[in-house]
Amino acid sequence: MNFFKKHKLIILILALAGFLRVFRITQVPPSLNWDEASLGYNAYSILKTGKDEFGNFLPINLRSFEDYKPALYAYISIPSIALLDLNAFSVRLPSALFGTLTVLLIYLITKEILKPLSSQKSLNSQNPKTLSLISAFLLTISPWHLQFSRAAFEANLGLFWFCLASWLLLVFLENKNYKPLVLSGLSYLLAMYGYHSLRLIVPIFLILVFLVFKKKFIKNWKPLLVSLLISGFLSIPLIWGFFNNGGQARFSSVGFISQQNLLNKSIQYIQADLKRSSLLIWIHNRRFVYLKTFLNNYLSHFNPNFLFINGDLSPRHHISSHGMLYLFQLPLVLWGAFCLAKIPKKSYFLWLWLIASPLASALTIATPHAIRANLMVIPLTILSAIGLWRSYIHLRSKKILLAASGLLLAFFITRYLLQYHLIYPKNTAHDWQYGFSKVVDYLKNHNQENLPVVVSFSDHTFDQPHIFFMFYLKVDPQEYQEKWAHQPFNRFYRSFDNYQFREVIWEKDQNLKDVYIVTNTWGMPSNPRGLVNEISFPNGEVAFKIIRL
Amino acid sequence: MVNFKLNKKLTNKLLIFLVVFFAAFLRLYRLGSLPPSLYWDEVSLGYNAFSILKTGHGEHGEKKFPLDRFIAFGDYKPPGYIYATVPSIAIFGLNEFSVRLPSALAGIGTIILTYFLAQEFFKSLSPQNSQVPKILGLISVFLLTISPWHIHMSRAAFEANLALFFNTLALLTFFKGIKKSGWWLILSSFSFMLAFYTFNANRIISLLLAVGLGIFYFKKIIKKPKFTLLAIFLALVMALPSFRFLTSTEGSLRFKEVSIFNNLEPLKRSNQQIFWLGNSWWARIVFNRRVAYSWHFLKHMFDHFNFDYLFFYGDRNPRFSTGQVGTFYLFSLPLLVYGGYLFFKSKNPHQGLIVFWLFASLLPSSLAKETPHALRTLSLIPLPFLISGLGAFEISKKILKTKKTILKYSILSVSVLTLFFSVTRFLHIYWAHWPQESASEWQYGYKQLVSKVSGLEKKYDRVVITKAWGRPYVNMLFHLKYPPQKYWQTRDAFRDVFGLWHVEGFDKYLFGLEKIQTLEAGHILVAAQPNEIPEKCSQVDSVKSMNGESIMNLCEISK
Repeated sequence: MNFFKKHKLIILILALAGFLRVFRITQVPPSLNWDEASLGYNAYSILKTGKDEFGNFLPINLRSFEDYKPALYAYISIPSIALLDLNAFSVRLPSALFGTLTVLLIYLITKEILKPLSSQKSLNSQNPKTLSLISAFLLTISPWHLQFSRAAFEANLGLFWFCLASWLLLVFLENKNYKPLVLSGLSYLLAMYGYHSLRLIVPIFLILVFLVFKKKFIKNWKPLLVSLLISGFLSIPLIWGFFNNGGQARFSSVGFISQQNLLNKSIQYIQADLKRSSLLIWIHNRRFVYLKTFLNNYLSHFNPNFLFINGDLSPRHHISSHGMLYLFQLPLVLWGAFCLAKIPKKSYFLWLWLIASPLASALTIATPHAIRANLMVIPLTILSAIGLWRSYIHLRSKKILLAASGLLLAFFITRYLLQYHLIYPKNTAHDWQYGFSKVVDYLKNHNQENLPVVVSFSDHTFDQPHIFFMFYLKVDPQEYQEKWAHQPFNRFYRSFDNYQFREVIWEKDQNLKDVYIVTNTWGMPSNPRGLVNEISFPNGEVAFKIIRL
Repeated sequence: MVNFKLNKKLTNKLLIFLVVFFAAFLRLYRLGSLPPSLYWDEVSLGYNAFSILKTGHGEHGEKKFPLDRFIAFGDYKPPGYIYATVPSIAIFGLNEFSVRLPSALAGIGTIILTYFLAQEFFKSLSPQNSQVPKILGLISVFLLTISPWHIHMSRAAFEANLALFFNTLALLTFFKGIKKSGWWLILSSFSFMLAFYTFNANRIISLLLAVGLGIFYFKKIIKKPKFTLLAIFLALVMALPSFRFLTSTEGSLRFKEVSIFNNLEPLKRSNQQIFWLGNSWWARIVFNRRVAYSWHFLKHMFDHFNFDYLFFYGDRNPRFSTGQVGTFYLFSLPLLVYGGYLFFKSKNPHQGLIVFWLFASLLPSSLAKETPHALRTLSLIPLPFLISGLGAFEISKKILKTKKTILKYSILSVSVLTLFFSVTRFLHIYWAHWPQESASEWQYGYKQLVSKVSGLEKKYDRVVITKAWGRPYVNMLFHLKYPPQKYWQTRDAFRDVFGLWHVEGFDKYLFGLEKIQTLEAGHILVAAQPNEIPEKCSQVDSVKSMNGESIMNLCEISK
């Protein structure tokens, strides 16, 4: 009882965090997207057979759509799938759970970072516990963190492990014990197993931390060595996986260096300079272009429009016309950073975290990227907590201003939550590949005689339809692996049982007989022959036409 | 900090002279041909000034010595730049150099003013050592001298750049005014009004800044009530001539054309959201269109803080930047961050004003569609250089103090190399590559075309010129130095529903290839782009681009 009393505020915050992450989790976001479906089905497959859909035994990376997803999320969701069966809830639950635990971790991390600072004069009114509670609360309601805790994103799991590891590391820096350091090493390793970006960020981050706190590490070289040995040994499969199945493939498909147009301008300049034999030709060297692109990508993660106004390019990563954070966090982050900058040493940990977070994302295309750089949310939330606390101190005596600011904050938060729950599922259903579960339901009920079903694979948004059928039909993994897993991989034509996934060309396909055709509206007449059902998006637009010929 | 044995004052003067000399070189060297040629706004400013010089009327032969605006293309240009160009045209004749000279001189002037502004801003930094603000001023001014943004803006006839000079002068004289003689306040008010009459965005910026200064330094100006009132009175009197124009429909036309509030997207989105929530009262509050439009406005304002714009590619409009170098060099990022941190950490009395100045200068641009905008935000220019100057000063102080010699010299040499590389890269791209790339944006070729036409035209009855490059008439007038009175008599012009003027011809010139059909008989010289040459037109000559391609063909038709 005493425990609850002592910690009642953080328990309340965690309860709120859990509620905000689980409430209506199957309806918002409106449906499982293909990655979530793939993680779910692979977890199901591993649960039933010990192998993924392609028959790989206990894989480190899931081949999935040839994108080699880190498999950790699938393993972690096995218990919930075993208990609750394969459905949207059981696939998303682990993310919500670990997201809630991350809220606890930001509380512990803030406390640990600010503990030695509370004696400092400049922060005399900053109680580390209050600040930790504010951080935890801000993360609880943070759009960036809520978004990825409510769907099966590997990155969210990676964030949890990274936070756990960092907290343990901070504990080690304080008390210099074996245990937290070894556990920290293991958690960092799990973070790397959990998400691609972290495989790059973690080593760089740790090297930076080592350089900054090297005295403490060198003094305690024994636990460091033990921890390094254990983690080093356990990282062998990861390294092996990188070189053997597709770690590089993933990188070259999203890395900016393989972009075609990247060097066009400098080539054009070099040609012009060659003609007049200019001495300054070296200025257009491609290495400078790479450096410039990298730095531009990196810094784009600090663009105010990304953080506070519009978010990144993908509608799956945030509600429309909303930044990754609340707008009111802009002044708070700046002020928090300003206050923290005055305090040396231990706060470096937080700066290093912020600096390291966008590193992996900066190497890729489509920056800024909210998932690949999602580690940023922790330092930014802590900074805004400091800013919020400082503003409170300043406004304490001015009651009217305080009340007005409180109202403004409440308005922003309410607006966000309302838009997320009531508007977001309506206008982004398309981006979440909404409708497949209804299609499968319909076919289950109506296609009693097992006629062949042709499902259209047309434009990019209806990519990978097969995985939804495998997921919602709960296709037996054993059978699937034996019969279908070994067909040559072809994104544009796949099949299993009586299902075919390919482009539907209506002029030709309307002549088929005794077949179901499932297509989206693109390139289709509005009322084609044999139309038996239409599945609509929540905003009323038609998502799928089901045709029986 | 410096080991000069020379008299400190002399050293300072020598250094500032060198910086200004370098600035003048970067701004005046090849002024007439870099940017490659005059684009239509420059041409129009030049011809209007020429017309004032010769006749006292604007290009349209409207009322004498207009003070409120020049009609020009129907875009109603503010008069400041045009009057400023009159003396330079009187001296150097009507050409590229003379049109751009006021802007270049204003650029050099801004640099000198910034040096003195730095003294004002950083005096509080070390009251006992008067050397510190001077060194700081020198660093700031050096950074401004090599700035890609300021170099380019000073090299074309941009009204904004002249307005920037007046705006900076107004700020500087205000600070003089609150400390020394109150007459400076009168000069400040006068300069604000000159900025007001020079560039559209400055009509808002001048007003905001003047009010802002009044608020932030209320305690100081209240001590000089007579001068303050006189300054306000002067500003009001000077504003009078433009009052009628600004409240007329023509005056607001330009604003309406570029305003972000014309965009219906936020409204549509807001209505859709309210509709989905059943038109309930709370949905109307939470998803109010005013919130949506504020969001939209902030997006445009924050566009100016986009790192892509600031440090990597600059303004994407090829007339406003090279598109390959940032608005600032990348090395100024750490200087700005550190300088900003120091500035707000110190108890500098000007903190409030600096923030206000920044947002006041961003406001007009943020209300318009194309953001980020390097031209409309130009009035904030001294500010980032004062801040990065402070950062550079403190960092170099720290480096020079270090006792670790190897570290010291390696950091110093890396810094010097970075500086050298950045400036060389910009100047190389700006001098060697950008002119060819952007030539068509600057309507390169008109001058060559006009000189060819004037050589050939005696043999022909009429000359027909394509409109494909835009506004050929003003280029003809400019490059022929055509007498304005003669133009008014012979021109065939009309005003469209949007208030824009279209000139179809004057003298023996006709604009638009469709005019060929209307001509009955005679010998016609035609100027057309290679892809639009009319039938039965036999080639006479052609205008070449800088790369030697034919961009305009001259051919003849006999009817």
